[in-house]
Amino acid sequence: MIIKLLLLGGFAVIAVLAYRSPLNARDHAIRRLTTILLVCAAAVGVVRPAIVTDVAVALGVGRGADLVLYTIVIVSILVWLSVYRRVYDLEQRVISLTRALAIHDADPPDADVLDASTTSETG
Amino acid sequence: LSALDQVEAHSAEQLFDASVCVVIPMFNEAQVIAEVVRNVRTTFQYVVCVDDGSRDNSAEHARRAGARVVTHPLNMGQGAALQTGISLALRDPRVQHVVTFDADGQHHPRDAARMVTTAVNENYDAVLGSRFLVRGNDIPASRRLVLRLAVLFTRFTTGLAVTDAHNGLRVFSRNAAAQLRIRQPGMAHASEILSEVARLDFSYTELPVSISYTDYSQAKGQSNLNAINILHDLFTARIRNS
Repeated sequence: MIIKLLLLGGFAVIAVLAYRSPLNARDHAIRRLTTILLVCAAAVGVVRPAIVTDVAVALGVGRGADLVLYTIVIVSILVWLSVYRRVYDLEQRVISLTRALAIHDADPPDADVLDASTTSETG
Repeated sequence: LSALDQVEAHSAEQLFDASVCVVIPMFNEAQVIAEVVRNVRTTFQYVVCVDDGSRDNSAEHARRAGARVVTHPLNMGQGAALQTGISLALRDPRVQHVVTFDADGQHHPRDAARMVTTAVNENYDAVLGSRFLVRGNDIPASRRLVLRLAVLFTRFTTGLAVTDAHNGLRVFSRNAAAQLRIRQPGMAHASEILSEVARLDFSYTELPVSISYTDYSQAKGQSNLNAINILHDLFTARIRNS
């Protein structure tokens, strides 16, 4: 059945994306094109629900509703991955920024820990 | 002679100058930090305390006990605090070795001194503390089990033949410390540091250290269930970093 191949392919894409380094411009373009295609498909599905069922049958899925469900599952996981990655990047940026601030405002090295060899330079 | 006595016998009455910096990450440790810092400073002059956004006056206590304090405006986790402390220590050109030390008083400065001496004399990039190389350590059974599993996990993922995967007492040479990149903000940093030791191909050794499980350290320390969170962090790190 075609739907099985499509779903397995979808999960394979998810696995590859999960292990790949941050998305580059090409990936973002593909993601945006896919989003536009999905929105168009959704619009068609709203206006002519029968088409969704026809496509579902052609792909080997019994009902249009099932095809919609499968699509939602794949898209949800992709969205989750992308949000997770963004939150992680953001967290790392916050940490870098906070660290820079903290180091900037840190206590100076105490005079009493200066050893004899450096006292003359700093004091 | 028990292992603990041997460790005791090793402790030299020695005061390390500013070429060794002891980094202590702390979060709401006002109750004990002054005593811990004073205790460390009987052996090491130079102590940096990283206040990880404490809501109490840990920073003030540490400062009065003679530590150089650096404060995170936000709480970011022990891993992030360690990296900040190490970065700050390395900005000081006098520092040749960095020691990581827990704030709850479970480590002993004499162990740290022995480790630094070994790092200096035998030119190791990293000297790691292990509570499992000492027979006298009274480790609670459940904690022992979790730590053993952590060791197996670490051996499997890094290939390092370590006996203790989550010991906060470590010594790094300046050169090694400068290469460390601790990205895990939370408690998974302990495993991450060992991954770094493996990735950067550091020369390393483990030395026995005694651990005092005081009421305070037990209450303050991690729940055994936190192992689940650490595993989660380590696995998702693969999703994010690879």
